[in-house]
Amino acid sequence: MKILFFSIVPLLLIGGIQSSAEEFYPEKQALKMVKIALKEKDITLVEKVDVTDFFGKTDIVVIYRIRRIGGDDFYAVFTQATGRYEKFDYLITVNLDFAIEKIRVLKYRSEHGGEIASKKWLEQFKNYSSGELRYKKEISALSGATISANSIVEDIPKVLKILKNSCNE
Amino acid sequence: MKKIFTILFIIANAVFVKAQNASQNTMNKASGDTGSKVQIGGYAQIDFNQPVKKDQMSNGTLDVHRMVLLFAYRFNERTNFVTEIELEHVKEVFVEQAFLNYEIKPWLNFRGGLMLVPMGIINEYHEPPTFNGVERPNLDNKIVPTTWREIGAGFTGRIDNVSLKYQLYVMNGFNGYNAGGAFRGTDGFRKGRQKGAESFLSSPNLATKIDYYGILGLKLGFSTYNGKSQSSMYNGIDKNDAAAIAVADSSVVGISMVGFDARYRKGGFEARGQVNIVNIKNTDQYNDFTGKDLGSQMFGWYAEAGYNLLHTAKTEQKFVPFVRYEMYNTHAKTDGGLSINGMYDRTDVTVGTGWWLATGAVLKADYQVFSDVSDNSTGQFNLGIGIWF
Repeated sequence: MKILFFSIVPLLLIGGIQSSAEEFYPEKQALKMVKIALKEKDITLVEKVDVTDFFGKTDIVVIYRIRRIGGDDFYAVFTQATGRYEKFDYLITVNLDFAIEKIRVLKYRSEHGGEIASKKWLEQFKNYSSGELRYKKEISALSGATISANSIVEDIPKVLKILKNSCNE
Repeated sequence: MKKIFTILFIIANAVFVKAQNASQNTMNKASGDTGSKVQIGGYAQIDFNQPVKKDQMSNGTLDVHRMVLLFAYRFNERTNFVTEIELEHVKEVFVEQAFLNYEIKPWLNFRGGLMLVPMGIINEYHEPPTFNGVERPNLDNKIVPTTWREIGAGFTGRIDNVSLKYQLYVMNGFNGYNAGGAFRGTDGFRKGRQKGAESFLSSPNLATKIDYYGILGLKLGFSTYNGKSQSSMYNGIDKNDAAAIAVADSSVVGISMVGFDARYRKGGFEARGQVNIVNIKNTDQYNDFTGKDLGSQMFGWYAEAGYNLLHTAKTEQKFVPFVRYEMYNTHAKTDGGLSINGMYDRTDVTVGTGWWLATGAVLKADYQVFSDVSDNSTGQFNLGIGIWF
């Protein structure tokens, strides 16, 4: 029990350190999040992509083009979708053919539905580029996270449309 | 157990000190627009129940069984407070939940206050659009006394790499004795729920749950609850009075409850099930002392399957016929001179359907057959309206 106590208290203290920033995932933080969330070590930021049309999506969308040293470029899209009671932040990485590489939930706030951050569940979106994407059809159900899962499934095609449009301008 | 409680209290103090420091950051703009700081939600269940008996007339009942209003407030990115105010049968008011959550990391949140005991499916997920049937499974009434909540504190978190969620709380236990015994054979601990209402503590309990959702479509849960019931008899007795302590000891029971649950969905098919076993110590002395008939073991399970007939249609509506079979025995074992009461060994079959007009709004209809060893089965026809927003 003492081990439990002495191991948890320092974590609580570390956990209290929190950064603040003016924008939604600005360059430095975005690059850091890609490195941490996707375990991409050797990357540099090429440019921030101007979002030209949100196609009715009301949540913020921030897009960066990122270069893997000795590898291909990819896009990192930071955006939000709606959970049970609060919005959650997520990151999509997309290759230059506009197919999804990875998705990570960066910040989940609502009491219910945190299960959508499961890497296993998010793997289902890999290689998706266009076409129908429906919860409980192309994408498996997730008990306890119906609202959030529905929300992200509906949001992803919109985000890809925004990305394609912004990059083709 | 008291040691654990003391440690958690110290940790809680550390957390609140840090929370105060972090509050200067208020809402972190790095995380974008989180929406309003105040969240309002709720759920409701409006029922019509018509008992059906062979030789006896019965009135039906119409009831706003539950209406629960949720209010939550987010103080900053890490700290939020959630409360649910419940109006039961229109005229009874309860606080169903009232807890403060502080996120240290996604995998480590401190949580304290009036919380749901994480046991099985329904006690945590009981909003009517989340389950089939007008009424909750009776296993989640007679053995897991939903809605089961007590004041406590502990930790919860998600480990996304392995698709796990855990909960670990030290909580107040059932009131087993307060100028009379509260437990009984027919529904175990149900009458002993303190619900955070001027509750008293003589021995804290430990509740844990692990959920695993790493297999697509499947969610598995494993819950435990261990400790002793609470007794008012300890209050004020001399610590050196062994005789008085021995008498007080007769007014409590030791509780060890385990639950396993599973939920599965693929295409239009959905199924769920739950098993609970409760071993209860000291029932011989407790029953002698209180005149009650509490069993020394309770055991129950249910399995349910349904199919969404609108699965292939382009609509958010669902139409789900389902069947549920459940067995629950609150006298699986008894101790001392107490005979097993076969009337407490019950089997229910529920057949019905739900029509989800939207994800959070459902119309339900079902028929239930209740039977026990006496073979005197009775029936009940139910209609219900359920909402969750």
